Amino acid sequence: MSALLRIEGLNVSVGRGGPRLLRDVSLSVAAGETHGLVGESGAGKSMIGKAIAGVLPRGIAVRSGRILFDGQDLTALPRRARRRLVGERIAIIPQDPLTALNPCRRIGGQITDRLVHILGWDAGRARARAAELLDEVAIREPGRVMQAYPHEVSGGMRQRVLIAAAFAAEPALIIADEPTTALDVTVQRQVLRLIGELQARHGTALLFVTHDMGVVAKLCRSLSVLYAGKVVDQGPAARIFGPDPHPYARALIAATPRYDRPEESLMPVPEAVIAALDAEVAAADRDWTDG
Amino acid sequence: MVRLWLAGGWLALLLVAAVFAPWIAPQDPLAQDLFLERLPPVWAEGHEPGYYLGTDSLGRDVLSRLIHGARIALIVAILAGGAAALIGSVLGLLAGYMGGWTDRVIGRVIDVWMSFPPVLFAILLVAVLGTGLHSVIIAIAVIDWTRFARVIRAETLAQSRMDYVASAVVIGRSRLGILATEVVPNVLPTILVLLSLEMGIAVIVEAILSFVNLSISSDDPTWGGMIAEGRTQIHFAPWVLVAPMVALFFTVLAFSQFGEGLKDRIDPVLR
Repeated sequence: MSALLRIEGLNVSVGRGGPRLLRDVSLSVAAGETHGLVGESGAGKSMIGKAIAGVLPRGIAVRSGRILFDGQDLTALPRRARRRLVGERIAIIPQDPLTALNPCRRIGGQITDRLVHILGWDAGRARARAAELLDEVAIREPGRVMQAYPHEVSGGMRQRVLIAAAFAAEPALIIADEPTTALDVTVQRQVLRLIGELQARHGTALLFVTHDMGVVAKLCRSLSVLYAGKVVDQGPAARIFGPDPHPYARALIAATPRYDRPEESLMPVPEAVIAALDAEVAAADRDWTDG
Repeated sequence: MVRLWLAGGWLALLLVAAVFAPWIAPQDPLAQDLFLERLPPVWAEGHEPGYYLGTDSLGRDVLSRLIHGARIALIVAILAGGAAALIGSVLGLLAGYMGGWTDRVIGRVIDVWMSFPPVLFAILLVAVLGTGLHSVIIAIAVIDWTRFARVIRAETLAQSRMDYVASAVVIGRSRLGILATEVVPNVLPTILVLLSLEMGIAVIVEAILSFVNLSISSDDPTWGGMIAEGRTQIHFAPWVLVAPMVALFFTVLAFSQFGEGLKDRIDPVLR
């Protein structure tokens, strides 16, 4: 199976010669497949998504490596061509539904943006499609919600709106950047199920960024475990969640709350595991020189 | 809500007084009559009919001068405040949104600008430009744009880090388009609040410059000029000093309260 997205040896750092945020990251996602990106906060999970979309924060840049999307290297494409390709084929479900919607604009327009600006649809057709999408994400009164401002609807509903907007232009890849972190547990389940359903129906590939091993176990076929911007374990979920996982992955699994087994206490990641990872990272940094 | 209406009411009253000053004012604000000098206001003993707030040391009607003074105060507030808002907001938006060297240059200029003491700077500018209303307006705009630039730059910076700006970038919208639909509407409430505050400040600065005789000619009625004249008469005719001070106080208060009330009203997040 040829990969829809393949990242090869991606290095991202703050300024030239500054600290590395991603260390030789390689991964691949096949069309229609779900790949999980897990790790603690600060491990660089979101940074991978931002690097793909080309919205790295100021001062942070790709130093080396390739991001192949559908055979084209995004890092080598001219700015305009890249924006066009990314805009048409890749969408992001952002982490925080509070900051992802513009408080000054009605919801409808924010869903249709992509259709109007990239696909060049006329407003009427885009609105009809937006209503359809809102219906698909189980919003009961699409007409009313499209007229509303973001602050007028609940957090869960805002996240549904963002999911609808992400699927609007039928992208080939969706980067879901911790889409459930800002939601409470019951809403989280609904949203996860929704993303799963839509993904299956539309055949979209999903790069699912999360720190929640429980979510990954449910959703992802394969995953990459990140520590300090370095992939420390990678493979099919069946192996990583199997009997003999990588010590760090095992520690992360042990650190995940289980609502069905509340009597099990949460385990912090053991010092020895951290020390081993730090040594690994330090060794990788010794070999790396900023081109 | 109450304060928005109270403040807005006072400002509306002022606007009506300013626009229709020649028809509303009971007397000619420039007419001197030494037989009617230092008449007390209408509630005190010894007043004359038609001189509601008394007269000054040259027999000019205080109320009429106050009403005509509102004209100058509002012209300065609107023009100087508007110009400062325009210059400051545009530079603030540019600095916050473009970042890089644009931001560094504008940021340094703001720092340097703000290190001048504002009133001294104003007096200096007016002295160079020559006295007159246009100089006062230019001086206020040239000095106070930094108030807008600094705040709007910070707000724009915060806005441009929002996810909705990032997604607009991803779908390939132009910088100007993103600025217009994603950033400006979100900083507009702040601009309006600052504008309202700035208008109050402009009124005060104009009064200060009139007080030191650097605004328009001393015959023309300005609140600052009236305060300067009233100061010399404080023991004989305190109303000449008190009336313009009260007008100035309420006007500046109204501008700031109006701005705050407006913010609550138009900010979609607070609404």
